[in-house]
Amino acid sequence: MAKQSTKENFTSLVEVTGLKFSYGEKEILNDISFTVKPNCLVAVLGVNGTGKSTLIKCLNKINQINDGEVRILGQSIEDLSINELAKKVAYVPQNVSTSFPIDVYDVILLGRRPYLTWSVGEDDRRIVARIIEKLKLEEFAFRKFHTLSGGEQQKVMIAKAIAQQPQIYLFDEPTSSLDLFSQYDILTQIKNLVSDEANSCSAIVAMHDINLASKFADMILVIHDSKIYCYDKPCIALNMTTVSEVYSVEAEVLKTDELGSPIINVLRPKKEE
Amino acid sequence: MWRIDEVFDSTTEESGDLADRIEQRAKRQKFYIFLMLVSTALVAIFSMGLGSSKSLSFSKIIMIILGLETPTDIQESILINIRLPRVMMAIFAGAALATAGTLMQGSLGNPLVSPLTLGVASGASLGAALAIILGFSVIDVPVFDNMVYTTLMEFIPNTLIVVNTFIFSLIVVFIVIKLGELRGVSAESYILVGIAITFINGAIVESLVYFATPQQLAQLTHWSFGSVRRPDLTTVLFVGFILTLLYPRLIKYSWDLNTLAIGGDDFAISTGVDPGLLRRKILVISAFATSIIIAFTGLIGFVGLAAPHIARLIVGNDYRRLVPSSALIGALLVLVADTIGGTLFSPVVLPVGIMLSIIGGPFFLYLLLSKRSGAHG
Repeated sequence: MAKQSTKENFTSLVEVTGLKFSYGEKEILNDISFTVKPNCLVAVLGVNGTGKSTLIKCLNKINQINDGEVRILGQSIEDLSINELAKKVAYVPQNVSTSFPIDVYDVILLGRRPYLTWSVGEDDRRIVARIIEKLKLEEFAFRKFHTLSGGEQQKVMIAKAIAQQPQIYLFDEPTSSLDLFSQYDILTQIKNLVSDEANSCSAIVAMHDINLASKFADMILVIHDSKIYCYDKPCIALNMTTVSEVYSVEAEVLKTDELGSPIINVLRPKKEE
Repeated sequence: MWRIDEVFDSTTEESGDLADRIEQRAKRQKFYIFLMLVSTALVAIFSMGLGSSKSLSFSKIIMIILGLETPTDIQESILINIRLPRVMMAIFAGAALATAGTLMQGSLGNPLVSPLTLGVASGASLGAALAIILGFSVIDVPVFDNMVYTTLMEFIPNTLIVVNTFIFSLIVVFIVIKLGELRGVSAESYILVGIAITFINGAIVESLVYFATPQQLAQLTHWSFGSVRRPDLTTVLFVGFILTLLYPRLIKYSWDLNTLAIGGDDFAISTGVDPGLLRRKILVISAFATSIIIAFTGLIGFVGLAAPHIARLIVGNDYRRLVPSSALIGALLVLVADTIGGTLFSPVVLPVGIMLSIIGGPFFLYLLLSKRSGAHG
């Protein structure tokens, strides 16, 4: 079942228009519209609880949206079954706190689940074996998933996502509990996934570290007061006003050069007026 | 840096080392299942050698099976009409109830669930009570013409009770599933609705019992002790046929249950599994399998709860192995319980439902306490 370079070329992989989502009475997201181009790493920023994760989960039917439309590769997700969607969109959760003892190899093999008709085929096994090699996971391929460290688990989840052969990757705070090395390691892997021109994949990543986002993302989407505050390149989106209004801190923005990613140096919490 | 194309390119060679390790692991897993298969077969043959006819001993059975000895007509009749149905029904009942238990525990994410949790047993009791006490049966309803009625009567002993228990347990499960969905397809809503419906049915059955004659009461009590010695060969083959049709579908759900167990509903959805749909399918199929078994055997409950846990302690939590293993463990449990129940106070036969709890209960406790980190929640 290994399809080769059948990834279609779309001008935008994800199109969101007028998305609205609320938990019961509480409105979380309102009038969210944006598009994601191929080969693009979009970082979703915002303070805790603004609905970064919620937005990510609205894109693959984990959350049922109340209004608006999400189109994936030109098709509305309403018209796609959960199984069809899983072939186009892969989601990597923030952390999988499981005590379920299952081999790492089997977790990655689950990525082939959307393509299975009856049982695992030779192709599926070969794909998984090769992903394990590429991501250098041989060492713990047959260890139990729940005994791995946070960074290792995150890598396994990325491997599982790759096995799904998607064009859109969704990540929910992939670096939130990792050490510095793993943070850069994971984001480099994600960057590598989307920067392959021949494959036109994109990733939407919920993040809380502005500087990591600035360094790795092609586009920054800032959510504030349940709306999109801005959606632009890091050098434009990340300025003093954004940081001050969204994060309520006083900061200086150090620009490396005109087009390079800015570095935010937070000085102090903003004083009450 | 590597390119995604390389991963999905089917022409490149794969690394030998990893493939070897995968193969070794698969062999090890198959060995366990083989071992259980062999022990079930051995106990089955052993059990065939037990019964009131002393001329048919264990060694004799082996001789007959190997074709070294021809049985007399009476012996053949005993073997085919009495012992074979008993042993086969024990295997079918154990396997079906244990599999249903495993799948339901997995899909509802709750280790305390058994096939009887969703009200199957209470529906069956209600059906039996209605048939025995009020003489009411669904097949008396005029929609069934005489043909269906008489054919069923001919093939199934105690037709009224059997059909009633089957239909009523199915009705009750469908009510529970529908009501559970009204409250959202979460695991907990099914369990809570199931418990409520069980109590309501229980109350109706007790009201009926209150007005029952002593004979009716005795018959109902007798029914409620599960036994694998009631059905004849035709019935057993029929049950086996239905279960064989259901089984491959059940095994296919192992993958989906694994995704649920690893990361819950969110993770399942992102892997292409619809958790609500999976739950509904599993509940319907499990209910069907359970209903058909208890319609013929009466209440056999414990195996559906215990066999999945025992299997889990032996082969681990991976549903791809757990589902077949718990079926074998279930078959083994019922077979052993029935064999002991039949020989302990021979010629008095203790019902398998009681024996299961007497032998299985302490064994289950022992396993739980000696290896307590095994079961997952």
